[in-house]
Amino acid sequence: MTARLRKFLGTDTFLPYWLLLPSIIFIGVFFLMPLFNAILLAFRSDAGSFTLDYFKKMVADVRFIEALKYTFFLAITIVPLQVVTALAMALLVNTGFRGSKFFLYIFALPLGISDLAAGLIWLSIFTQHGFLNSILYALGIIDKPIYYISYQNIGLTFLAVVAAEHWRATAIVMVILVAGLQMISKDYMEAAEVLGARGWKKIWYVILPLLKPSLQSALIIRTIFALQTFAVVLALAGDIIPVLSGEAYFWHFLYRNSHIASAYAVFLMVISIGMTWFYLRFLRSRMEVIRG
Amino acid sequence: MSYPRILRRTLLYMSVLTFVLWVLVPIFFIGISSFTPRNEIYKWPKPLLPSHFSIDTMRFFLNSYGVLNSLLNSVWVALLTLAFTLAVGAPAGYAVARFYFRGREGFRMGILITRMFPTALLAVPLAVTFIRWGLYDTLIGVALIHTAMALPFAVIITTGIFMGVPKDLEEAAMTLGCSRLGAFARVALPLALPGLAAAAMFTFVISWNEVFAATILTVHNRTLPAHILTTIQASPLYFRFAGGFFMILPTLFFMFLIRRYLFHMWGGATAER
Amino acid sequence: MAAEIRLEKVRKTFGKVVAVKDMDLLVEPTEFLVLLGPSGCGKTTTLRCIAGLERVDQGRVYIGGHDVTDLPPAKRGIAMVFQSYAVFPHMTVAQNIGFGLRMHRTPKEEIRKAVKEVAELLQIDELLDRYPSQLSGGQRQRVAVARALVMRPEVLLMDEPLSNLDALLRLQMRAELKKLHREVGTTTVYVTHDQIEALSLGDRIAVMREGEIVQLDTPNEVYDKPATVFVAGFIGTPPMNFLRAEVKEGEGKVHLAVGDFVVEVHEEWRGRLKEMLGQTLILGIRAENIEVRPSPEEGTLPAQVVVSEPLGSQQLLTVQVGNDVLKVATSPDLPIRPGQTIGLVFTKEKIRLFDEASGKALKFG
Repeated sequence: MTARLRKFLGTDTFLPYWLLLPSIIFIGVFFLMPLFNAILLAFRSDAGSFTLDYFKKMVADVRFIEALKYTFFLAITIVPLQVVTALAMALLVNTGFRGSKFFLYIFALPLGISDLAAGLIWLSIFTQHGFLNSILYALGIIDKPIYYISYQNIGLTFLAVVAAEHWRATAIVMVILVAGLQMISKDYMEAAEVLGARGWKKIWYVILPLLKPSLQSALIIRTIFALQTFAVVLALAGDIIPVLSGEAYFWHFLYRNSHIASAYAVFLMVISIGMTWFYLRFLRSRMEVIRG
Repeated sequence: MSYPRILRRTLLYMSVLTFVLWVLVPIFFIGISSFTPRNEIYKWPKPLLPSHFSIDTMRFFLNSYGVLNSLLNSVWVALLTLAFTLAVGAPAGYAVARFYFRGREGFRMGILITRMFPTALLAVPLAVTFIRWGLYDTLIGVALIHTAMALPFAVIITTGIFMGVPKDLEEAAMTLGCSRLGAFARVALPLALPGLAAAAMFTFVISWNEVFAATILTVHNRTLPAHILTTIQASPLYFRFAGGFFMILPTLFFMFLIRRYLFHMWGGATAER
Repeated sequence: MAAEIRLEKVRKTFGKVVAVKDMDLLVEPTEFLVLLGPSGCGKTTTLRCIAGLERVDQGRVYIGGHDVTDLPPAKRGIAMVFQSYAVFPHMTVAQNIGFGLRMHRTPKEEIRKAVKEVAELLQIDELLDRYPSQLSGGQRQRVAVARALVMRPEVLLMDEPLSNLDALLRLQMRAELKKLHREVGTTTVYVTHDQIEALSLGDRIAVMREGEIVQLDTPNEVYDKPATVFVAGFIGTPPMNFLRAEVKEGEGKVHLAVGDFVVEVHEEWRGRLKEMLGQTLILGIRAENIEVRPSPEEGTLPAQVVVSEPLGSQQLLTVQVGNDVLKVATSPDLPIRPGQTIGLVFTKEKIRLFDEASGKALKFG
């Protein structure tokens, strides 16, 4: 019996499952279990019964609405900006001009830069004695430094965060779009040119429709991660601009309350799922697009 | 060359140049900031270029309390993550690339969905669990959650890599006297090695850059990003600039090494964060 | 050295698809057996079951009298040539050829000698230090064959080894493979979908369809006496012509009627056919077994020429008979124009008759 069982488990039919086993266990322990525990932490009181107290506390906190507002604004400013910029870069590179491969690599550089480092890089530009003020002074436009990052100038602070995050994460969108462009058969392009579509017309009527799946996956991925924007904001703007991920961090790290931190995390997850559902529903696409 | 053609060329290169400057100038700025003498950082009006090249700021950063320690921690965590991720992810990638089995598409879909989990959702509950398991504030604990974050990429990337090694080659080796494992070791592995190396470096970068989970899961054994983030409000500007520059150095180097793989190996499935 | 191969009720399924259906097969020692069939007929799966690359669901596989059903490929005494050649790109030609011997822990000096010998046999001894990326398709193919032969296998398995070569090279390699087999004498199973390859190479041909062997015979038998309508239609260029014919009796003689036309049959068949009076059969006749008369005479089947294709050594006519279209091969010198009505005469001995329902050939005597 055991010999037969061993033979059965040792066959090729079972080999792939053996190979998957470690990652399935890993996903179970490091994704499903935390998800389950986060829900427990967010909804279960110390007495062990179901409670909405933590969510009520989260919503009642003065910074919650602010954090929600800024997270949302960040996502809807950054994502379209990035898609447009990345599309321009991808189309430029795709023309295949001399040295385009080299420039593609340059364009992709920020891919390796963390959000914290990106925040610090742009801090060197936007800080009061930073490069932006120095340049403006050298050009004779200002004679006193402008305070880009301060409670008095929340609008400018917000724009500084947008600039940093736009700079950092456009590369990922570009890589997805370049990969998508490479998959479009040259035949379509040539057919379009034979039929007389040139320049903008070719882009609008041929390339963009064919690129739609890549655009959708880029949109979904970027939106999900834009909702989690955290270290860029913290490095650049400290606590001037609250965001949801930052609140989860503060509740856990400073106030040692993992219940409310979990509530924030669950809340983020729900918004992420909601946004994905929204994209899939209204951009009429298949699940494949999240493949990215 | 006709007139409009020249115009178009010029326009093309001008736009390319604009983007190149946009990408490179900020990196250049943080670079010179890290080599500006400390007192010049606060000067007004500040000259665009420092008066002289100085490693004073860098030295201050590296000698600051906790930096060297966290730097070592970061390297350890990244190496552990790399080892865990390849050990767990590569077999799965191989299975998905080689076999058609029931549940294959389901597994791939599951892997993709894990990418949508917010880091906070993993890190906060795991901090609680890790305290119970004795993994809280340990490098292994941080490496484990980094592995979880890097795993989807590793599976997707290694799938692509192993798909690039024809199945026939391994079967040929098997008909020539190799066991299945032997065929893998002598044929598939050597051919997949450059791709696997690229995947490894990419995993290293993911771990090296990660800050949220590393901060939540540690108290004393901080990684470099976690150390910088937790001390950021109390640190002088030059410390932050030097830290930022120091963090991007190895990643820029690795990105350069694996640039060939960025687009071709895993096409759309590139990383985030 | 050469061993026999025996399959007993071998079955292999992929999900709901039965790729090999309870197959029995005996390949004699030193025989060159060709598995022939359209794509998806299970011929490659059969080969992979013999190689051990697929595990059979049911049945047994014997090589040289040993039951190898549960043995991995490495322990079956086989060597295989793959369609893609599967030459290892990270090894030189010499390392590729010597790989199998190295895996069997053959002493270095012996490997070197064996590699050199087989490389000379295949005329690639000049290329031993090159890497596969520096070789042409034809050269890689030779490396793949050399790598298999150097093992002195009891059984050589080839999976469409010529299909990736261009037409001229294929012709040349085909002749060479035949010569090699005569010299080495290894039991060989060769998979192809190319019937000309099968006819030219095989001692016997196993024609497969939907996981089953439909006919297992020498090339001449398969060509002249196809066992079913499928085999008749699959083998030969052009494939065999088919007409519906009714068994009738007139003037005391049994004959076949194609429309109003009377087809005389072999005397030996008459007794059996007499029992089938009134039945409809399928009459099969090859293009080269139809004689052409420039005009429809008495006793010939009138047909209208649709197209005439001069093919060098012969002229291929497409003609219409009633609603049926036939291919007729004739001398290229015969002046024939499209639209012309000609007369056809079937060579009595070459007619094949098939049962309409089952498609199986009728057996006489």
